[in-house]
Amino acid sequence: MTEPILTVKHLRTYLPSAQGLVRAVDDVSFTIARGQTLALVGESGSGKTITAHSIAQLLQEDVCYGENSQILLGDIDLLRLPEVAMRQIRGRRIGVIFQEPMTSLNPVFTVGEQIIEVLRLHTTLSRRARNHRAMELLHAVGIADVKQCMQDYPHQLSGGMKQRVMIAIALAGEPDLLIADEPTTALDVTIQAQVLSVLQKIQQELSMGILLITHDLGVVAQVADQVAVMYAGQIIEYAPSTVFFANAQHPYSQRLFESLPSLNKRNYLLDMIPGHVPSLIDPPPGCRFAARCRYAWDVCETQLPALTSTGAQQVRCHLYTKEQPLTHLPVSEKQVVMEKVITESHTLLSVQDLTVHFPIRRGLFKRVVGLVKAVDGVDLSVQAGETLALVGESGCGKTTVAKSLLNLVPATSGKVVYLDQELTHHKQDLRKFRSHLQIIFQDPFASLDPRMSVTDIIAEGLLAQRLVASDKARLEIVNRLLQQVGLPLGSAVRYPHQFSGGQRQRIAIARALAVSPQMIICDEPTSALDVSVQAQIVNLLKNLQQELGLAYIFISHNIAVVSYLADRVAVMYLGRIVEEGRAQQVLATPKHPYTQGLLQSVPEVGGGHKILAPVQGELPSPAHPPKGCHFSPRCPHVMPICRQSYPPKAVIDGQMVKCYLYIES
Amino acid sequence: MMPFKIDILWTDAVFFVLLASIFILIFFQRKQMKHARWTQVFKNKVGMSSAVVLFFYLCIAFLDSLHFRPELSQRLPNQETLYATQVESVLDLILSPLDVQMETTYAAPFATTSFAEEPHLVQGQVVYDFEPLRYTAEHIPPDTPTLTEISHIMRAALPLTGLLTAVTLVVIFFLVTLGSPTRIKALFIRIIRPAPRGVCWRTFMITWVLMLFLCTTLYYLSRHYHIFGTDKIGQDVFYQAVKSIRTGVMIGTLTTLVMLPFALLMGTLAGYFRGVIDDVIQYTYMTLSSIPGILLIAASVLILEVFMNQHAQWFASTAARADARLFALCVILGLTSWTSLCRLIRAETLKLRELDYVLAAQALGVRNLMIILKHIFPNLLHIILITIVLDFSGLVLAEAVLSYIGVGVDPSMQSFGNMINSARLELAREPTVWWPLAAAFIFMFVLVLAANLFADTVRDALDPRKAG
Amino acid sequence: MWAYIIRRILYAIPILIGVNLLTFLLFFVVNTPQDMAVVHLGDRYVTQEAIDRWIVTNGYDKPTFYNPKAQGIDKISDTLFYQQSMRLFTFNFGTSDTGREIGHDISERMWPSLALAIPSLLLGLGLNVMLALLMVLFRGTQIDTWGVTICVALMSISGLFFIITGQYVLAKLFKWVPISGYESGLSAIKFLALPVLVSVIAGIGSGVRWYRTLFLEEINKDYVRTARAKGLSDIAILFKHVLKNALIPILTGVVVLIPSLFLGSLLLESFFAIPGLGSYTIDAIRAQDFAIVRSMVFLGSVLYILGLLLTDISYTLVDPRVRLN
Repeated sequence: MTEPILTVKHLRTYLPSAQGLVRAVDDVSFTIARGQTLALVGESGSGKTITAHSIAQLLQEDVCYGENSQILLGDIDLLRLPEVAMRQIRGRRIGVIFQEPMTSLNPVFTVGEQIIEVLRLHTTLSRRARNHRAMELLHAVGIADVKQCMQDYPHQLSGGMKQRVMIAIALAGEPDLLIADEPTTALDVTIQAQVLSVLQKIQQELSMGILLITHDLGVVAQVADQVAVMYAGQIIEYAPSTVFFANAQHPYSQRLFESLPSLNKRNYLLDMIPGHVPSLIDPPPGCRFAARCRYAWDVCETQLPALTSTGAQQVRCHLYTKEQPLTHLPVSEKQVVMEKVITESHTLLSVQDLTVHFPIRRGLFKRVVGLVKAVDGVDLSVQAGETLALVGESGCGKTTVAKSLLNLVPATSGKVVYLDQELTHHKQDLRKFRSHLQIIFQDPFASLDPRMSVTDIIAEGLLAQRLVASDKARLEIVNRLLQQVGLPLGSAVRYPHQFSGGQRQRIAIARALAVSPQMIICDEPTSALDVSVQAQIVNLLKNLQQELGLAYIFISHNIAVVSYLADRVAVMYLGRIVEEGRAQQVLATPKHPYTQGLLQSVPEVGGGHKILAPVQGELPSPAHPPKGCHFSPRCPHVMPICRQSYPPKAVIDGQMVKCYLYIES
Repeated sequence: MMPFKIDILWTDAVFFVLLASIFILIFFQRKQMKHARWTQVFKNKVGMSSAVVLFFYLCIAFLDSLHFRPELSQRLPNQETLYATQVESVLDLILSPLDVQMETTYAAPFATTSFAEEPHLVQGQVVYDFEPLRYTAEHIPPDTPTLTEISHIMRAALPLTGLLTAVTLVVIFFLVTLGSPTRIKALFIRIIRPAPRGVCWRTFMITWVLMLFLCTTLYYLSRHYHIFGTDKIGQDVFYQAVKSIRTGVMIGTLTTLVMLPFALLMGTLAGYFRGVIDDVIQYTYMTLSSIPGILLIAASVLILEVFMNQHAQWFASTAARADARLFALCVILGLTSWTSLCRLIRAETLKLRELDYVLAAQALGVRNLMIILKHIFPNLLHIILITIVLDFSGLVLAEAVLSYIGVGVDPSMQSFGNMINSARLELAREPTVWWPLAAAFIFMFVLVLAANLFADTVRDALDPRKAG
Repeated sequence: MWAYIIRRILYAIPILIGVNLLTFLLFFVVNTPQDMAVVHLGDRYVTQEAIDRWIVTNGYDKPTFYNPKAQGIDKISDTLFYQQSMRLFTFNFGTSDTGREIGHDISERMWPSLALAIPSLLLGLGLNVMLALLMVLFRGTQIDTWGVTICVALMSISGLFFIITGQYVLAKLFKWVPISGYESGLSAIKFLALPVLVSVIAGIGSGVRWYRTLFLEEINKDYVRTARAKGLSDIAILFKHVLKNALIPILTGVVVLIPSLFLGSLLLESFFAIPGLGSYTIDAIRAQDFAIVRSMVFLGSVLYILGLLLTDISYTLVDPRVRLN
């Protein structure tokens, strides 16, 4: 092992807040060697970002550090460095990439100016040399038209491009250490794969140390050499990546893995971690995970376990501090089997040639000069009691499909037929069909009115549909629903801000269930949630389907959740469905090159390091879709005919696919 | 038979409605108030003390809005009671006889003799001499040094201060705690040892007692002296300044209130339904807002003046006339300033209607009217509240400017603008007559400063994004 | 770009017609010409004849919107509305009630107004931005706290007091400058010094606070964190990154005011006896000269709409996000 670049010893970072001092980071130690990647993994609020910002000294001035805390970069202790000297470190020896590429670049300077600024600050290059170097950097991060990009302003670039520029800025000072704070969380999987491969390539060239902050175990598996799992401000497990994925030892790490959805867990309920992260203002005296741990005994409640070495890895758990380390943990209770049986099957909803176009107006009289074809001819059908997943990258039009099905966005043309009744052109009678079709949104913070109590929120549909006459009956229904979605009865009188993200999503589900729908459209219901909470919501959805025979249209970009939940999968690309079929089939043997690329881009927990970035380029604008097959500019198998006309449907082994590869010419 | 006749002027009526609705709102919302963000205002020392100061101003305005006409001693031949044409308020009653002109011309603050030497005949010869003031001569024993007398009076005011403090605090504490002994105990602990993020009861106590002390002392002093001297025609300046408070408070509160329904309705309609309605409403407020505000106000007031001259018979008394003009001024100011609130509300509604919870309500089949009432309006409340408190100080200041230009309140009405307007030339006199200006300055500054500070804390409490 | 500007100008036309209609309704429909005649001639000792004569000489005897007696296009054009209001579109303001040419008066009086307004605006802007930057640089310290307190106190003082005290202290006590009056040419400076000073001081409170809020809003954005991660100093971040971003709203906020500078300041000009458009308007209001007030209302709206247009154009010039879309 080479000499360490960064050594963090007993880092404690306390942040003052209105409620008191938050012990955001509490005794964290790790090292990063040259050319190595350490992944700091944890759910939101675990203190991983604060740790990263402490290293780069980017926190507000009123932060306090522990007395024996040390952050050694080489042999300089950053915590004892004056701000003036720290400026020589930031950008020069430590580069930082942030999560939000959209807002992290200054909107009024060109990309070139923002890179050159770092070079001017930290190098002695001449003006010309700086310009040249900036272009080299952009080239290195995989930007094709470097000259143009130098002159572009950030808003002219896509999210992936911006993140590449951020990497170029962070690399400009040729740092020894790169801190990447959730660098791909805001990006699509295909773009995430591209950005991660750029990072890996550059790391090999420059042999930097990388501190990667992430919540995504898949990303960790792909790029990390070392893994440190954080929980409530502490590292609870610290191990080489391969060891960690082969044999995670801390109960929390284990349960994280168990709560990940996947294809082969389809017939079981996911494991859930009950409870929530303790308050960091007044943390419990014992193990911080004790309250949620299935193995916890009395020592765990009173005594904080130390980080103990168990061979290749270190674990903070009393199970491993005893004289006789346990070779096997007590086996958890058997997973609950949930085999799905659809008794009777009839078509609930069918959609034919649905289009939603938004006009682009330009010129003197705001003439319509073009159309954003958000949805451009979509056919779907959903059987009673089944789950259809709609998969695709952001901007492919999947959310617009959802909203136009419910007429929240008017459809431009096409037919939506619900149980023989056409919905698209009967605006007057639509109201009574509202109770059949419901929707759950992505952002649990925007989907509940902050000024209404939970009772009012859940009863809203009952009132609107005039389903229940008396107040008493309504309250009974609300209480029953709260029980059904797993919320305590006392919740009824409280307000949304008193609940966590997962609980809010439960309230949203209860609201949809109140009108007894037969079908619910779930628009990315778990993508704003942590893995353990995601498992709770996914389980709930699965249970409800079993109990009530609901049909779901499940919109998601998360392939793992889709593979766990869906019966059928439809893959969308630029306003059209390019492939559709039974979930197991589509996910196991994808036919369309886009589906293949998409699935390969998804980092897998068990996958280890693998070749990344199977899909090149980015999603084109739906205002100017490419001629012929929309995917042709990015397709590895492109043929001349693909650039001329859009491929017709082909059905192979019950899988619908729109690609010339499957059409006999 | 009462010896007076109650007279409710236009602005009185609207002001009472406003106060009543605030009380009703507080009464019905008292359960939710604990969680309401605006209660943060009272957890801030500046917010608490400025609120107390504003409350005193409001009380004075309220007392000055209880109008009546006293019975006259003469009666009609048929024994019917006659009432004075002059409308008086409870405040006049309290401050009387200050409302009657007493001196002949200028007198300096706390002076016992006239400001300038005045001619009078002594044994057939014209002699210039400082005349003793009529008012002070009545109340002050001759040849007492002023300072001694003042400290005397202030001491005499203390018992009343104590009594008022005791009574008001008992009432307030009872209202807050509803008589529950545990809550009273908790409250007293809070006063002695303030909690770091609790309501600032101690600040409240201090400000409250100080304001009460100030009020009673000024009142006692005004019984003996012209605290702020007298003006050119011998009117007491302190009285004028106190009377001006009502005008300022009325303009500051009623203007926003008058425009509120318009702005709210138009803004939500435009933002929620968009399309043609939006175009029409946008056109309306674009047109109105493109006329420079002060010119539109000037033009409207000029027209109003002509109109009122033509219809002089509509107004029973000069006070009614002046009041009608004040009310009309509020309407005019409101008409010119509703556009900005309307624009804000429209923009916010546009944002709200795209939010998931509104979409969810639409998906549940909730009718548009119900969505507006249940989802849009409640989430616009903070904007409205911020606008009301932010506009208040600006409007009080605007009144002064408008009155100076000649398009403000009726010249016969006591107002800060009219006071400044008549006082500004007095600075040019030798020796300088500075007190009318100083009085207007102090009374107005305290009001506007309190309003500004209060507005700041309200905005910070409701809109953390704009803190600073 | 040009299509955009032309469209904005076309949008302005219905708004100006609206303004015109509104002022017309206000001046001619709420009160009849008869009422106005009475105001001007006094309601005693005046015969109906005199009133009629006044109405005819001022051209107020025509039908309001539609003239059934006239022929062809004159049915519309030979009306009170067309004659009195539509001609404003050609900047033909007509004559005042005292018989003076309004257009001529305006073109003469706008120069003193500009001589006062432009230096006030520039000095005020410069000073406010500087002070705000200073406060933001020392944010969280006593300097910032006291700065904000002083700003709030200054905001709570009526502009009238600044004028009156300024005149009293600087002109009457110290006799540094004349109390009021105006001369053209270079000697205008000594007359303008005090009003400019007063206007700058009166604007500090709200100006500094507003700019400070703008700067603080920018300083909490993500790109500032990026700049810190690059190793830039606080001062460099403030003066380069934050200032350039905040200048966009500041500059465009100023641009909207520029055309309206012609109108001058009602208060300052009248207090300091500067013969500009502000005092012209105030005199007209006090003399109840409706023709002048009407002209100024129209001119004011035109200038405001022009200001909005310039704002939009300046956005496209200074903000790359708008320019390149």
